[in-house]
Amino acid sequence: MSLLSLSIVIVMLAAAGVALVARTDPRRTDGSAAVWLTGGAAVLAVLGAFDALFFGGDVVGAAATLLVVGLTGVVQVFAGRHLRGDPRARAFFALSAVVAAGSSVAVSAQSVLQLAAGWTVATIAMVALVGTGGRGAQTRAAVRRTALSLAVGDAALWAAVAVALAATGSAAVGDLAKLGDAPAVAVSVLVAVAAIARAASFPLHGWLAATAATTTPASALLHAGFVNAGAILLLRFAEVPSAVGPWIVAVAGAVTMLCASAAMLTRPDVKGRLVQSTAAQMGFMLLACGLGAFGVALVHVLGHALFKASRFLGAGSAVESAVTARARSAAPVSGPGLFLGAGLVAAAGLAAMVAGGALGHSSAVLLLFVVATASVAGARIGAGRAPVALRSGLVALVALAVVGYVLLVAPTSEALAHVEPAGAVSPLFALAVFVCAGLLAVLARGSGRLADRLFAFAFAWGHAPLPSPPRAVAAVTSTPTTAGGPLEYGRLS
Amino acid sequence: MTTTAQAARRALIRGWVTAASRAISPHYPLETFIARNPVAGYEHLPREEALRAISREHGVLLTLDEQRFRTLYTEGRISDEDLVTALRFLVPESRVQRSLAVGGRITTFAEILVQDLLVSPPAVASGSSMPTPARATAPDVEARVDDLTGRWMAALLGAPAWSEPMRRDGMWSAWRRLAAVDPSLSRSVRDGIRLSATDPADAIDASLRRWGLDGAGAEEFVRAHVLAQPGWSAVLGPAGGAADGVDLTALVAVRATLERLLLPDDVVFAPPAPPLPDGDARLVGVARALHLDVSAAATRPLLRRVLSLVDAVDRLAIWEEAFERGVVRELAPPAEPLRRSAALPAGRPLAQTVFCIDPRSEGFRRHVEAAGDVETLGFAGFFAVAISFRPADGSPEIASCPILLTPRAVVSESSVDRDAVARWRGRREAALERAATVQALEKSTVAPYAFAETAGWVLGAAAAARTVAPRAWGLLRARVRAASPTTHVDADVVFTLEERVLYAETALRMMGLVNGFARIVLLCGHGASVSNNPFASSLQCGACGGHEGEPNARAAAMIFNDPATRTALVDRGIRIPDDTLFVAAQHDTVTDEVTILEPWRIPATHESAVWELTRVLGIAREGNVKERAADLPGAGDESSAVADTSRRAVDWAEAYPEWGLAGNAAFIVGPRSITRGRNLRRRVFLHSYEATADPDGTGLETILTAPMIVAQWINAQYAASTVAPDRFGAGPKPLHNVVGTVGVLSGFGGDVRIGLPWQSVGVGLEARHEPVRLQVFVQAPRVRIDEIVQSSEVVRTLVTNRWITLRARARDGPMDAVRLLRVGIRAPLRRRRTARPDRPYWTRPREGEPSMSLSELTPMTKIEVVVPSDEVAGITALLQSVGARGYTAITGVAGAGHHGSRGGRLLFNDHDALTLLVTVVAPERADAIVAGIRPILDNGAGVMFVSPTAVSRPEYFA
Repeated sequence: MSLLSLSIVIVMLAAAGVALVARTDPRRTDGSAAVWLTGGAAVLAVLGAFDALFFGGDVVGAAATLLVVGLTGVVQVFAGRHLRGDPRARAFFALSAVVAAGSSVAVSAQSVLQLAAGWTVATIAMVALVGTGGRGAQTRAAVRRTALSLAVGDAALWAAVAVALAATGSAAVGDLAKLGDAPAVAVSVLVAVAAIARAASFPLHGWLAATAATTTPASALLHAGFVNAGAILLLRFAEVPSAVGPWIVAVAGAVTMLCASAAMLTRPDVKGRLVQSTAAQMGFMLLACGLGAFGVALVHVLGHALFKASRFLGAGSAVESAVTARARSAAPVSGPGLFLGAGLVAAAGLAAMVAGGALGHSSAVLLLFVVATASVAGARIGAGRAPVALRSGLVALVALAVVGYVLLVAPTSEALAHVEPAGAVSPLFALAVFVCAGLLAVLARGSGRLADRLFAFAFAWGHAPLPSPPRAVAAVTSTPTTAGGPLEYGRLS
Repeated sequence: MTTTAQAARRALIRGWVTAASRAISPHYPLETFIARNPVAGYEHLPREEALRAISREHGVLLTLDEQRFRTLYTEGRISDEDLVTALRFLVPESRVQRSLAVGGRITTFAEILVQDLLVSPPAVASGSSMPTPARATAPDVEARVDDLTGRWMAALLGAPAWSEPMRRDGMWSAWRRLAAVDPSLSRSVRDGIRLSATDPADAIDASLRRWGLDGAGAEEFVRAHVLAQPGWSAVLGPAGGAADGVDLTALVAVRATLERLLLPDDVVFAPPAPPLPDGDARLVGVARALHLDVSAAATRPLLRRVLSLVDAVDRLAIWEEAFERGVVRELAPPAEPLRRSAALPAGRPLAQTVFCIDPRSEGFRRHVEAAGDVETLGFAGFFAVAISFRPADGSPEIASCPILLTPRAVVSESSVDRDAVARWRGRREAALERAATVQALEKSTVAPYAFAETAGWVLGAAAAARTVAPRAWGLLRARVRAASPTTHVDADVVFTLEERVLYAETALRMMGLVNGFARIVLLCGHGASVSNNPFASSLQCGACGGHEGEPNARAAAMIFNDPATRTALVDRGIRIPDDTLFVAAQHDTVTDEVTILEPWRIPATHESAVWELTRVLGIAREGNVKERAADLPGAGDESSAVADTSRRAVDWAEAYPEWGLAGNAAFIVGPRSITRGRNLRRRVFLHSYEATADPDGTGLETILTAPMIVAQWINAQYAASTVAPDRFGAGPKPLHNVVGTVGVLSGFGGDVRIGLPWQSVGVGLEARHEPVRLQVFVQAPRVRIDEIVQSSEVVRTLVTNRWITLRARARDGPMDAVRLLRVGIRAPLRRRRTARPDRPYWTRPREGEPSMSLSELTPMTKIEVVVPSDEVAGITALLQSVGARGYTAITGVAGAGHHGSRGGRLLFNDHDALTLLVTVVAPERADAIVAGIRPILDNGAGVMFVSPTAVSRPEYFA
């Protein structure tokens, strides 16, 4: 751990302290003084990223630290005005700083012990952060379920660390390659479980849906920084010589990706949609990690974190966007435009894949998703009502973007996060997943018994059950109004 | 083929559901948030009885709790005198001055009851005492029922991307089809769903049979299920979305069926026993406070007798009354105007400015008056032009008028500057296309992955910029947005001259502006710029249906400036001078900035006056913003107040853009001179009125039956969201999870939240809004007021049952309360006990009787129902469900009877009228209709006539 990363962690811990003790101006939100120190840590993180990029160093760790600290800073500034009057605001600022500190330790670690320690600090602080949503029954349930699932993951991680230490006697990440057969399988499976729990993938997926019952800023941090850490964990343990872990990760990721993307379509509420979207995206990330395409996974993690943070913070605009969506004419007008747009972009993308020699690479199959995305955009633009010239221009732009991505972004990211995984999943598996996703899109448009069953399944997958009240409640004559204020703000318990 | 008995049973169950739906007021979608009393259905009951009923059915107390009242008393905000006056007012027995010798002391009725108020154990709202079988026996099953119903309702009403399977048939059939394959349900439950009845009413009946309920018990069961998740019931309303097959009966059927199937077979449901009367604690406590000897033989019976006059809920009503007396002293117009000289300035003022009656205008008007020689008036912010507005940029039409009204005409915005309009439209279309593309990418099953990772960089940077530098972001957005072209609204074309004159005269007479016109009359609508706020429309103009007042101000200015209208007005005794110009403007209630809406319409002759007026408005803005900064959470010192409010308007993180109508407490009708110069702290709706300008009193009638009603809705909404934030409020904003445009969830599922978010009424644990029933003060001849109150049922109900307090005076002096019957806590109780006589309500044509001289006619049964117009939807839905082929509705019917008289055809209020519904059905179907309508007519105004009739073409009738 470099001096710079150490100072970032210290500044973040200081921010947590300031949030807890500083008596701020009564007009300001409690604990919001932490924002200044978080800002300082973000500056340090920028320096760290430059340092790693230009003077050689751990680019992955530095970039992840910058992401975590920077996002925490932005979300804290947001919370300073969003959580006015919230009796748990002080806890929010302190805990968010601790999550950032723990995550920074974990992502910049070169020792498995340090990684696990940072990881668990972040987990505990995040469970408490979910609890800042208040005293509502749903929030309490979210805390319980999050704690339970993440505890499984953290226990698995510590078990993996213990096995690695026992087998090699060294905590260094670089020594993981020396693991013998049986310990390697054990470590790889345990790490897979830890990553799956963090990424809220099948079968430990239930907790993420419940976290919609916490505050918007806490959700933003959870979805933008916290769940993504699985990719870094898998990267650090990539040299463990076993393919069992990658297979587990890839299968869990693929299942989650397919189910959650269908479940998202059945959610009417904005946070529920975002939760399922995150689950699907994390599934994609795990699939990429399973393939050994860590570069793609990391670019995805960074981009998705920023995307999800902005989506969560803007969740209040959902009414406006629903009204806009209603105002729009339902059906696309131009049929030929649709096919032309999609076809042109897809052709350009595939041509770039062939030309760039990407086909030889095991991660090339993931580029199919990129090309598919661009084709959907091309189709939508081609079908639009804008003048033909404008539409052609926009379609060409999209085609250019996808070519650029295939030829530039993908290879660069692979080079920056270069790891030779000791075991990886066959690309054919990813191809099958891609086909399934396409099939799902077709089935979702159909009707009849199969579509009904699929719908009911996706509907059930996407919903977390409501907590049942404790039996005693009916007997207790509580006076909800005497405390004053809404139930959610009720006394800190 | 269904039997007659079955049809009647179904109709009866539907009738129970419709009657139960009144227990919670309809909830409107968030884009047109309408403040309403959530428990308006209890307004037919006197206040304390309603409090009792609400406590029993909703499980909450609709006033501050007694502890809080006692604190207010210790703090001196409730005086001894107010408490005794309130007690005397509500408990007639306490007026007795006679001394009682009890327990070795001399005391009085009043003294005992005051001690009761101060020391007795407070009333406790312990949740609804109307349990469903699941709540009574297995809370986990209840949670499961709530969960499964809630997610289903959310998906049905919230329009998720994939909803086609739910929409294919009506709600009930779709649910049966899909829930039967729900993998999260056990096999036996799924089989039960598959085998459930095809008609939702039959499914409810199956549950009633399962629990052995009938009659009153069955109605109670239906009611308990309607109120189990009040949010979804409120969204559906009495007949919400009946066309889509989404209705409350289906909702109750889903709940009842799930409950029946999820509860084990051996569960027995017994309706709960009534709560035991509280023991001696109260009696002993009061005795101790009075230093009475409880052991004396005569003490207990006497105390018991005195204390039996009131119960815990009655005490709340007394406290409430006492507390409000203090508020009245703060807000009532003084007996003498503070500034008689200022009220009658010499010469012509620079301008008259007309603001909405909204309490937020009160503060701004005060500052405008202080800043320059400007008179201000208050009038409903839609300026009497009820329109539907079609903007030139091609966005969809909006109904810009009070919810009580249907728009009279569509007013369009247009421009001769075709290029500019085309550019404007083009930008909007491009934005829509962009949104559509983003949505297509996010909702695809293969596309979102690469989209998120690429778009994230742009969106993330934007999010950071918006958060860290909100004002700069706002300025940037404003610069990028296309400047709106010079447009005009065609209000002078779509309305005939007659209509224009009618609207103009009504408005001028209602606000008492019939002479002394200044050179400029500013018609100032209002709106609130906010960002990223699902409850944005709750901050907009209520008189414009939760929209900005801009279109109405423009349309009204157009009408007032129309030469033909002005000429016609002269014949009606209102002469608007030729040099008077009506100018449309809009007040932004967040920043207090006033924008002149059509600067291009101001002729050179008036330019300097408008400049001067804008300067005055600028000064007023600064003054008002500084005043508001004192209350606004997180506002800095006064010097930064203007910048701070500008930030709030564009800041996507801000939870408190402004305080909205929080604090509202009174409605003052009268000339501005009676309130001018008083700081009413933005707590008062101010409606201008001058009795001399309104010779026949129709203006006053309109004010009391429309704007006042709307003010009462708002007032009751704020109060309910404050005292019962968990039942009638939407909870803290950071937890909000928006469902379509329907409403918000607090968390991941469950019930949709109705009412206002906590951030509208309080900060942290402390409520900022002070719940006070609307205190109405009217300055007008008493005879006129009494007549209106007697003749309008809506007003009379509110006054008689003490949902508002009406005080009046003809001229300067103290305001006297306008009190009607039913004062006193015990009187109405006795009256309520008289049972409704069970009279025969319809007669079937007798067998063999020659019904018609023309024998070829087919005998049929005619059912005529006269009901308040807002009940019509529920009844027509019922008629259709029974299979009546059609009906005739005659709106605007006037009448008088048991509930008082109702006036039809009011310009401001479509709903305070009656509708006559006539339907003709085969005699065997009549039973069903009558069975269904009866519960709806219970507790409401309305009559039903059933008579034999004959028709020539029976195939036209069911």
